[in-house]
Amino acid sequence: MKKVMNYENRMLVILTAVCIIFFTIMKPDFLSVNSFSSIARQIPEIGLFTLAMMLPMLVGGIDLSVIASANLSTILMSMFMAANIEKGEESVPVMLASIVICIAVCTAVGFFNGVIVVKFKIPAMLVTLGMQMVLTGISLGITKGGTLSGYPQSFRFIGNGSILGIPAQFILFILASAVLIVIMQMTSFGTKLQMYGSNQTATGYSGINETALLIKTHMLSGAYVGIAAVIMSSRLNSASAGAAANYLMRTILIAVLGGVDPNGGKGRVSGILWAVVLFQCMATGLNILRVNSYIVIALYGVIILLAVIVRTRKNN
Amino acid sequence: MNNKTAKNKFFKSYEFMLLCVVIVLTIVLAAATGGKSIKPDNIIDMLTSYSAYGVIAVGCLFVIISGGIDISFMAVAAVAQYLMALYMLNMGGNFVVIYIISIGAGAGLGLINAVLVNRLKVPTLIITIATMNIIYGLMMRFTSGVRLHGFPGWFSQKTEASLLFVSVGTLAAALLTAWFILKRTKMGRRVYAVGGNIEAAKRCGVSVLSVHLFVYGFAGAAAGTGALIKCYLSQQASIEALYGDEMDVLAMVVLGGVSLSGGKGSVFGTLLGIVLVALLSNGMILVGVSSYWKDLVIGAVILISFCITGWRVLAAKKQERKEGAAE
Repeated sequence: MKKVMNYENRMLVILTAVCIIFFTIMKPDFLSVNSFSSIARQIPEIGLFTLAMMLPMLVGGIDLSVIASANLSTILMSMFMAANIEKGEESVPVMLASIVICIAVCTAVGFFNGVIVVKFKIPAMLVTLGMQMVLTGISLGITKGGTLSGYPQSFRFIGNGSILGIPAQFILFILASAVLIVIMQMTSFGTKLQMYGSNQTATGYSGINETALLIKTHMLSGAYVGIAAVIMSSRLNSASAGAAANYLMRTILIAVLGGVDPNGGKGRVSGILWAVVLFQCMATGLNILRVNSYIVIALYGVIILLAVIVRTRKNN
Repeated sequence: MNNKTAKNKFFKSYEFMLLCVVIVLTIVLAAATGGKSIKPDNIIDMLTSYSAYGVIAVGCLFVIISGGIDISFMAVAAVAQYLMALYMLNMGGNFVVIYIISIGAGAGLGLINAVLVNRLKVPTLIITIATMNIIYGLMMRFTSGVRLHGFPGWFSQKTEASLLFVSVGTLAAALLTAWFILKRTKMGRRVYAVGGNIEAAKRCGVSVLSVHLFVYGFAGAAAGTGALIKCYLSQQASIEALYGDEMDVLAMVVLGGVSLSGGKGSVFGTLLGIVLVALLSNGMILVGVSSYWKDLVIGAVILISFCITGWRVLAAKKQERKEGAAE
């Protein structure tokens, strides 16, 4: 319990509470089942994307190709489903196969990112920027800028259905986060990852296989992008090259808010979980208050700067 | 002897390789389009239309040499373009005034970036993502994305000569200024020093704040100038015309062979990068490739160039180690 509730996480919880109280005073409607179920439906996607962003950030990199990778994989998944399932029919095996394809594509993208980063010693930021262009280019080329839509009912359940009143994707999100917590805290891979981030040279000298570690990190990040992509595509019931373009900045915002040090080394899954709750409460609240969407974009920028300023001050 | 090694060095440099690629690409495109791509009309068209992004790329080059990255430049350019257009619509003015306005507005916003980068110890990418969103969000809120057009006659009546002067002339001036600053002034050497090793530069007494102010201010000024060219070509000020094209500009600089972690990069390389991106985009249109594939081609070229650069650096290190062992 002590570990889950460190200083940073306590601050995030307090901020979330302040946020909820503020929005409730401004608009009592905020405190309703509706808004909280909408929050619970939004959190999984953005949360999983942020977890995928956190992993490369822990080793001092960043992944700017997450959204492009998600879009390409959902387009391929959608094409596979359309080719193998007649309209109006259901086929669970094909659906499962297409989900596997989606996650595999994203993992493969992670693999290539990792290989280029570690083999050619190029900053992850530039590699993933190039990768993002390539992936978006392929997606645009395939779809000609259009949208693929219409999934079978059983697939739409992932992003729209609920089990015992809890949204299905929320359950998936909790499971995926739990798995990541276990990986980060109980396996040697997790320990190595955090060590590498805090001091690359020392980790290299301690005999850790740097190549394997970085490639694995990017592949794991890719797998989480894949899960997020499945949920997102299912919720929207469509796939396109330009979907969720504004998520990239939000994932970076949440990661910074959740205590991930962009220079590497620091950051924990629990921090991200609290930060994503705070972010989504804020986003939903601003939406209910009908704040101009461009002001919201500017506000997100301000929040990134504030989070960075607070952290820099604390470290000094 | 000295002259010979310098010559050898040039033939082994990234810029030389890039030059070969550009020449080969030009020949291939000329053959594929039956000479259409090397007609003077097409070349002039290509130069004028890519000069705006070229100027912005020159500004970016400084930031990347200093070891950072700036992706807020298009938002900065949009602000500069809007201010300049508003001034023209309300006060008239002339070319000198609008150059001053757009350069000043760009440089001012760049200085804000510089202070933040200097004070906060986080990657510049994250800081400029934040400033980009703040600028873009406020811009859209207060302008509602309205396009401005209907400029005074001295601005809207373009002749062949004025067009070339404003676009290619400005680009040439920007390239020359950049080359002069980087190679012939103290500040230029300081920019390389900070990018190469910031700790070492500090110990040598370089004021990192002044370098940051200069670099980000210059990048902002370049963005403002690029915005002016773009406005002159399209005869309108609009946010969408610029915002979202960040990758095209970054591609030019990155292809130009900047060292990917700062400390290296040359104006000549960036010029070749600009030409390469222009050739590729223009060539694809002439050959009849659907514009949907443009991102893929440029992205793939970037990734391949990364791999080649990385591989060359590693190979050179291996060679050094071997020679060291032999001695």
